[in-house]
Amino acid sequence: MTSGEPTFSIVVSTTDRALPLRTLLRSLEHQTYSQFEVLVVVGPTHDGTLDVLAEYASRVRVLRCPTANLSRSRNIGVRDARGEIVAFIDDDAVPSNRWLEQLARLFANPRLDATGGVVYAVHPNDSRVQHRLGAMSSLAEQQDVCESWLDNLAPHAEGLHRERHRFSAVEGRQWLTRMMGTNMAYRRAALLSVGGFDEFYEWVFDESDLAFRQSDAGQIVHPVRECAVYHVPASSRNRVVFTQRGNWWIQTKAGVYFTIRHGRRAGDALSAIALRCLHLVHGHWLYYDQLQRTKKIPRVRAWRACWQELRAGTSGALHAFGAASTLASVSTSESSQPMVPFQNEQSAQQPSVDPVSGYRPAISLPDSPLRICLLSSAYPPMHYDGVGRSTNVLARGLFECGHSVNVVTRGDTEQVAFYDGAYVHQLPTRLDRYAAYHRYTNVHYALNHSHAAYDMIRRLILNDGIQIVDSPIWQVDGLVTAVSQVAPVVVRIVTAVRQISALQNERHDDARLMGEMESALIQRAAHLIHNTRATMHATEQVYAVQPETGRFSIVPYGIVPAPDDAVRPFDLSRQDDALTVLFVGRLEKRKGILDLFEAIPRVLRQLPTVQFVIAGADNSQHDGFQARHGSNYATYFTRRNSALAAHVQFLGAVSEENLQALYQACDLFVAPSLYESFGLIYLEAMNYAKPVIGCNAGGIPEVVEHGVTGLLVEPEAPDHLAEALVSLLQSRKRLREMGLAGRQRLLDKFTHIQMARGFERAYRAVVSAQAQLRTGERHEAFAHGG
Amino acid sequence: MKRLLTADDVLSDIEFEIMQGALARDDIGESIVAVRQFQQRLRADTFESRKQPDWRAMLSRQFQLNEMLITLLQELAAQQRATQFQSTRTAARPLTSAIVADTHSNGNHALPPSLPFDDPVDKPARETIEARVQTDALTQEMDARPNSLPLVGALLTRLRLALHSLTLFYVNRLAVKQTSNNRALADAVLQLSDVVQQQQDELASLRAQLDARGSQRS
Repeated sequence: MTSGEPTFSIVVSTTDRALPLRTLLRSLEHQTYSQFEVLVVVGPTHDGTLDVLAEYASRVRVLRCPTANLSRSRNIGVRDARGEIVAFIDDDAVPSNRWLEQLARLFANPRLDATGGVVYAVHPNDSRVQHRLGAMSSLAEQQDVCESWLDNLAPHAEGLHRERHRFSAVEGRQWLTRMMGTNMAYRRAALLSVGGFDEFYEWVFDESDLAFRQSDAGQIVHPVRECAVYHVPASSRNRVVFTQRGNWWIQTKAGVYFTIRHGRRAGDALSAIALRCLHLVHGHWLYYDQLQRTKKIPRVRAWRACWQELRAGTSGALHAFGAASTLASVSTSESSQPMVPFQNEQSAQQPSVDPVSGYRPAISLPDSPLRICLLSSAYPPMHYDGVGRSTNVLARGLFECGHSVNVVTRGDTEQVAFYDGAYVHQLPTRLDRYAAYHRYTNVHYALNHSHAAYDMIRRLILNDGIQIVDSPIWQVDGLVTAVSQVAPVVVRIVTAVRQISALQNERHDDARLMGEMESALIQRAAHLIHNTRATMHATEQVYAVQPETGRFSIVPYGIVPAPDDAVRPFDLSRQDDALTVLFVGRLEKRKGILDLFEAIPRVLRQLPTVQFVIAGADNSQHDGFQARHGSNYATYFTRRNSALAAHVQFLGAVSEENLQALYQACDLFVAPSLYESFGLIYLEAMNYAKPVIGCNAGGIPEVVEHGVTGLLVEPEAPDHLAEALVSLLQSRKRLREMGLAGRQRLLDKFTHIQMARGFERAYRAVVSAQAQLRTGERHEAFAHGG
Repeated sequence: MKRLLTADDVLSDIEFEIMQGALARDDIGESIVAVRQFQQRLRADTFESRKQPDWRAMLSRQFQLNEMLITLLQELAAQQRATQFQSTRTAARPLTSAIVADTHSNGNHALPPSLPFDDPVDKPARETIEARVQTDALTQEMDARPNSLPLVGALLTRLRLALHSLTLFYVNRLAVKQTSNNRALADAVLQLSDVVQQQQDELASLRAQLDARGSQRS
């Protein structure tokens, strides 16, 4: 280890959480700061914790704690730590990649004694900002999430104290910033000088108590907004996660003890302290009563819990008034033994890990995994659209290839959740910038989201060391980032707004300006990725972009192959004539829905038993159809073909699960789009071995092989479309053969792994070019300076 | 005639917004915004409300404001010391390792967060601060509307004047105390600014030395 930079000891206290512990240890391989050791303090354990630790025998120091007491366990870790800084993280959390690097940067300030960062709960069932710039009062009132560290100076009082303590500065009640136990770091010497953790606190309030004692000792405790840790709350002996079950009286005991000790010390009125203690006990009583009333726990258990609360409160009070100190007598001597570094030569090449399941792809990487940020305004499971789905598939593929993936998308609240191989950061829509564009609805919306995405990317660069940003051209998500040049932006080219405007005869200013913004994004992109040759040619024509060598790639999209047992090729032994034709897509002119409407009667004249299923949201209001015809698409069809209504089913927007079931159940898939840059829908049908019919336009011929995996017709030719439908529906053998050929073509060319490999090549080229550029600029600056 | 907005407008607005954002980029920037908002609320509550001010509430809010400013100053001082420490450490690091470390850093985040403003308090800003902390800056003057009601109007006006002069007596007494507080805070800010200036000079000279050493080696 080199001298000059601070050394860290990461202390992890664990009891019977072998799997989350393994996930944490795997994630520590990716820390960008290498000067740290790991100490795991194991409490009474009965699961495979020690087996997991045996895998890291030469890299992790294992200590034992005889009781399940968090403070005691932490003190054991601190005592044996050899680093200058002791960082604590829970066994059910994983740190951001630059966690230690950011902490080291903060501890470069010699006055700082303790710090900690934001904690995001990232389980898909429980995703939220769990802790940020938290504050705690001397009466154990918590405010876990603050916007700024000045919030804690005048927090809104809660519960019983709302009126009495409206003005905390006058009343003397003390509020202090505090960290959350799963993300905090201390100078070891400072921590030891105040006696370490108070071992009366078995669980919770330990870190707040320490913050108060450090403050009394004149030490500086300064939590920050960044240095993120991702938390996946796991069950423990004190609580069962995602249920109401838990030994909540342990919190009451600690809370009462904390209130009396610190309330008295801060000079709070005795009546206020007593009221707060009663509130702590009574609050839990009300909680148990509610659980019992809603039949979540039996009456006997509720009564027992209430009795435990009373006992715990009394115990906390008696200990608080007792003079005996429960502070540990920890040695302040520095260890002379060298640290055992956690990371080794293989650490840099380890694939990324799923913090929720602990899964890590079983591959070995020749290089370090890339740290990638994908942008997509819409993203499953909140919103499904073509771009969102392809981004989701790309994220899954990149994760399977070992890379670390973050996705930035829109959402209702600020939160981060990990699913499908990526940390998905949701940004609530706030239209608080770019007021000059409020008349251009799409532009205004797109610019505000693009700016919010840029803010998030800056935080991701800080916390996770993002190397590359990938933005679809759709909605220009990456425009502000590209202008700012904080990170290289790779642009995925899909159907351009200008193309859509031309196809749908839209001539309004909003679309014009969006088109210009797309052009600006293309010009500022570090690299362009087209999904087909057709897209590349279209970009040349629409935006007058000449393909420069090395600045563009063609990477076909892919999807995650369905398991073999889910595939349903046409069954030749079927006797019935009720064949089903499926259409999937927004109901609008560009998707060829009007051509299908023309073709359906012609097909039914020849094959009267065929059923058509049309799935997709109606877009008639936005594409001007309703204004011209006075009805939406479904009504328009039914009015003109009332006799055929029984053969055509309009489902509207369907859920992802239903959509997959529809693909699985159909016999033939049709989507006569006038233009598709790629056409993911065809792949989705081919995934279940279904033959497809599309148009000879855009990138569709590069996906559908005419005569082999389906048929292609000219766009806006309903006669040909009807002929193609009839010809396939009349030949069951072709339905089966083409379906199977489509599935094979997908497995050969269009899987998510193949897609991710193509993107990875482009990303690596950009990252390497950027590194060379930086080196060149540095040398140039150096030469000028000389 | 109304001009159509173009991509050039969008791009220049993006750059403006990025620059604006940079001012509130770190905790200090955000906190300055918070203090400002708090002060605006306080001012509105105190002077724009028709209700008689609650002295206890006003005092309490003023204390909160002072607390905020003191915390801000503490943080400024801490960050400034961190910058000083970092610059000393960077200067002490061997040249080659500095270059290697910088080459490997991905996001240009090797230095601690910058202060919300690049330059120390400049001359016009200094004059503004000085002007704002003059003794009479917060002093309020009588502003009571005469009542035009027949018969009782004159009486009501005299009553209103009496009440206003009583209010003003307390407000101005508070203003004098607040001004002395502000004076102390402003002095601290200006002193800090001088220290920052001094250190920027020192940093520049250290950089010059570093460059000189680099050129000697090459």
